[in-house]
Amino acid sequence: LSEQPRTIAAGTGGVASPRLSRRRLLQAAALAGLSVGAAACSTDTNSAKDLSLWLWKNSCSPEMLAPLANGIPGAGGATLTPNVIGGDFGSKLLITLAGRTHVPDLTFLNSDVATYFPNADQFVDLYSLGAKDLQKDFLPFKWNFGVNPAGRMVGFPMDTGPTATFFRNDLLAKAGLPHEPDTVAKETGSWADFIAFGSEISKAVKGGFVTPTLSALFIQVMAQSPKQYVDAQGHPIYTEAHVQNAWDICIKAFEAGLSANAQQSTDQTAVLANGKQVAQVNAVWWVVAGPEQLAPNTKGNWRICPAPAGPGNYGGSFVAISKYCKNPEAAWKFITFLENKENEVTNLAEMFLFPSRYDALADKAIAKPYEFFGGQPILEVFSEAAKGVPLTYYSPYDSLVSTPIQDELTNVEATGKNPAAAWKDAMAAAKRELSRIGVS
Amino acid sequence: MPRALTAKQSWRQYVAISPYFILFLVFGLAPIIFSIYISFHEWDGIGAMKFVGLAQYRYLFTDPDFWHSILTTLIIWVLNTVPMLVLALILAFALHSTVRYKGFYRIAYFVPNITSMVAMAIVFGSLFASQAGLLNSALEWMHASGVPWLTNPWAIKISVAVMITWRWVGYNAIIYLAGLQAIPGDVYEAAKVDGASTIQTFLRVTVPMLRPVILFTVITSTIGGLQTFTEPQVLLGDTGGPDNAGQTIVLYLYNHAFVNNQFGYGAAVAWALFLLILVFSVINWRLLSGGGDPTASRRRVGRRLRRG
Repeated sequence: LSEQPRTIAAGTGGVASPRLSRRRLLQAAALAGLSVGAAACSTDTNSAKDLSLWLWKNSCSPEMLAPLANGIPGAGGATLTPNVIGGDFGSKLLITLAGRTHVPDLTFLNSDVATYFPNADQFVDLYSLGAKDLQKDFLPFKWNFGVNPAGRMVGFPMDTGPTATFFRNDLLAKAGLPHEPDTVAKETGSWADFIAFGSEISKAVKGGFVTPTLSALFIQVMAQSPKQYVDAQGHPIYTEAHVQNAWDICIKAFEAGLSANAQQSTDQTAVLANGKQVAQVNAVWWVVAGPEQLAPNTKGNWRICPAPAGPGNYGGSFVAISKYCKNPEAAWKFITFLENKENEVTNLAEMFLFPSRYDALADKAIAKPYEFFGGQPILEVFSEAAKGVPLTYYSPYDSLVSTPIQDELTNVEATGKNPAAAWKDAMAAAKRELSRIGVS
Repeated sequence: MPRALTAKQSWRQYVAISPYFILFLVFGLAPIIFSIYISFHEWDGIGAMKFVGLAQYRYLFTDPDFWHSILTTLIIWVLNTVPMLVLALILAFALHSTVRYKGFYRIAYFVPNITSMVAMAIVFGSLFASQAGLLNSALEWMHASGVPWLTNPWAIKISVAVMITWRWVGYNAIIYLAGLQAIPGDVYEAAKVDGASTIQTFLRVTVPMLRPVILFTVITSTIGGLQTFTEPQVLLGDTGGPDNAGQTIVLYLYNHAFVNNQFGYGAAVAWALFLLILVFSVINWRLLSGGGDPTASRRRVGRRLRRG
């Protein structure tokens, strides 16, 4: 057996040069493999000249980013390479941060920005780069959203998600109910009014609903609340009246039969397209993600008015600089370029990303009439809403409380669970989840 | 008698077989060992790990949702495995006797197995949707009342089981088919001579002769069934729908590890799942094996035929 390699070498000797035995080939291949591996590792040593940016699809106008490959304005020749990350963006970023290598210089963060607050040291404190000077230009609620309780600015404001009431002008008119933005707004000044008006709708419009699910309604009520579930000091506040109040509004809507109980997206699209979804409170991005894309047949029939009980915010993203960034000054130049007035207006026009700057909210683009909404300048409603969103603290642990509550609301409408029992179970589940991370 | 090589002489051979072992070490063994390590810690993925001893396991065994997810997994497993394997066996038997379009049928039954899950989720989502779904529209057209497929806890389990069955029935049928083709023809001839009907032949010859293949499919579908994740996740979301009715163990794991960023807890769930699969595999093995050598099973077949 020990002779075997030599025999093979002899066998191939006739074809190739006698020196190129299989043994040699293997050694060469192993060496080549090693050098390829080494080369792969060394590709990351890009100079401080080129900054990498992670973003997800439709989070920014690609045309705006393209010229930055030749240089970020004012950044001394530094360039930008955007990478659109598909799939689960949050998980991929987390894994990359955990691996501590190949971390992008810059990244967009979604409205779960608070998830990163306990590890805020992974990102450059934007205050240290002079962010404070720009604070007065931006919506205060949005600015606060990206600052952790220790006062470190993790995320810089990008787009926002102010909320308002969407309603079907045609169906309400046919039912002989108030159907213009100002009259509907007057009818739905509070959540109690909204439910009363919803009851009239469900009587007058056959099979009419004012929310697709109870949990969607709960999200909208909480989006207006100055208090969420855990405060900045880490104390639980979900047992206070504001959460119970949001729950009670949902249960009243349930008892009045105002939820479509459309738990799947197929059903949600159906109720939107077949005219059963008469009204709904939602964020500005739903203009495109909702009626325009899912129910194009309803064109011209929608209107928008201020949400009951005041504006809220649902969704919106941030941009952050990772601590591995080799040129934070150039990265900061990119951020100030990305979020200047012109680019916020461009992102609104091209990507329907709603601005976070006061001057962009005052731009003439906001006054543009929307045909899908019967020519109503709907962005004015959202612009007013954006300026009125209350300051609130979103903690990294909010979803541990909001998920069980929303699950139990689903149980109430989908499985007929007793609301009182559901509330008790939601509170118990939230308490249990929070106890694990030491919030109690 | 060739001499055994010394380690020094045979290093090239070791190098030649090393890629598999190196890859296994890096991508298999290391993560497995690391998962034991992090199951004793609290870790959000980025920050420092905090040693918590057995606290994750203690929390796990006292969490009602965990036990609920085990029960859910087992129910879905029974609901899909039993009809799936029976159906696969019948299909394989039919495919085996098919004369025309053999290749077409085999491919047709195997295609669901390699179809993109996301595409399937969209199709099944529009099939099962409560108000606008195809199934319910058909039921209503026949003046029957619709079924809340994706909101009723039992209907959810059935929907998920149907989706799994649809995806894996062809795969198992192909394996059975391979087993069928390995059964020697003389056994069938003997059965024919003894005057056995088709059903008798199937039950008394085919099934007993397929015993090792059936054992294989039962074990693999048990392991697969206990790891059910994609179907409920794409159909119902991260929490498994109303009443967490579709929340299997792996979905529960995913939800804690990758949605709530509790990686230590996720690792503890994974090890609990490992133990569970181990127990079930042993039970399966005990139930279905025994009499592994083919002559024994052939003798048994002969006995049964004589009795029948």
